[in-house]
Amino acid sequence: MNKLIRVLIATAVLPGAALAVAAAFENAWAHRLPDPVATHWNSAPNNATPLGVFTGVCLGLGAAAVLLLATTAVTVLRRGRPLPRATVGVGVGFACLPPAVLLSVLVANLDVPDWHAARSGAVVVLFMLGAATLGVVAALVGGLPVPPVREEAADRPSVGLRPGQRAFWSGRAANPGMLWALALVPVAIALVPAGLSWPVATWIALVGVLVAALTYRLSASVDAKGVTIRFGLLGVPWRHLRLGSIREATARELSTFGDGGLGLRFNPVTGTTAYKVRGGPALALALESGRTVLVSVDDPETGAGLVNDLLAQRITRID
Amino acid sequence: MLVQIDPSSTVPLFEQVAASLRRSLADGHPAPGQQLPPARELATALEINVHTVLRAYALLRDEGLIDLRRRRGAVVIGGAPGRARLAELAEDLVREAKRTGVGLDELTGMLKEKYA
Repeated sequence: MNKLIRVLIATAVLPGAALAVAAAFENAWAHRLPDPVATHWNSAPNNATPLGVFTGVCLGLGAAAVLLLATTAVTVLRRGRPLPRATVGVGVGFACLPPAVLLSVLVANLDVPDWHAARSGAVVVLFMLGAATLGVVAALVGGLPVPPVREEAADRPSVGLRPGQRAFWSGRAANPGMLWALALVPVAIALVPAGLSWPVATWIALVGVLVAALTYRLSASVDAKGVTIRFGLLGVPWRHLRLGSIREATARELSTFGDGGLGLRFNPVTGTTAYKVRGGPALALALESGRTVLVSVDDPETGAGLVNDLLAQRITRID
Repeated sequence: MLVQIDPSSTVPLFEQVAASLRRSLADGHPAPGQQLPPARELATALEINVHTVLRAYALLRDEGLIDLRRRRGAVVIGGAPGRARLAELAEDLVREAKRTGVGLDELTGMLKEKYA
């Protein structure tokens, strides 16, 4: 089981299941509960809240806590930072508090004619212990006590750039098939009986050609300042990555429809941004922020080698 | 396409740029029909004068590897990979001949003999 799945099970699935169970019990017991329900005790019940409001607040707080917890945990994981067991445990324990409180209130109010007759609120202790148990389980499942080791490529590419030497690398790739596909598919559909009308097909084809013209070609260049990626016929959109923001470069083999398909693709969970016009060899840049940038250009080994050599020069150079 | 230069070398910079480009062309990067980077961009990246890059491009044009067009810039011509590889081998051959003291006439004679 990889780290991401473990972290998601611990921080989203476990507290999310607790929320779902609490919501299911509220739904099943709705006709056996008074409205309002007793929500505060001082030896005896001394305050009440409408059932719908109390349920809504508990479930809302619980959902917000789960969302915040899971997003934070995934971001921490993606940035390669440690995710201690204690942090995961306490976080999940707190995220389980709202459903625990809801369930304890439901149990104390179950089958009583009026909130004044509600049973002792001491039952909340049991549900708190339940939340704490879930916290412990989550800590065991999703905690990553040792900071994840940054995976350095075993065969880190190099072009053998020596101190004092200067270099420039440029790689490119194009996929004219994208142009043809985006232009011809609407036309083909227009030819099918009961397909698109000719004017609609023509407009879609024109828009398709325009989109493809902006994305069918890709180039990347490397110099002492960093890596510049340019998309499309006009070189726009473009992105410049400072050398200081890059940790390591490698060459990677991409599948045509992996990483979200062709074009400019961003995956917030894995932190991968892919500039892709085709499958096959691609330059993979691991950034200091923990993100990864993939650029599907030809001869990526040389580009990656130059990035690594420039990074090495940057570390050893005395300005 | 990798261009690598050493400012401390005794080899003129334009020859270093041309040699790097020749090596890349021999490897098929960029392929025939594709463009070399604009001279100004390459000069800025390598921190050298743009005329140095233009001189290197002119050398490659004279070798029949690229075509210099007013609007399209430096375009790799068909057959450039093979010719670039040959030019590289010829350079190695001449260097080796000089190192071993073989003169031009003798080297030409050897080539003619092998070619026949």
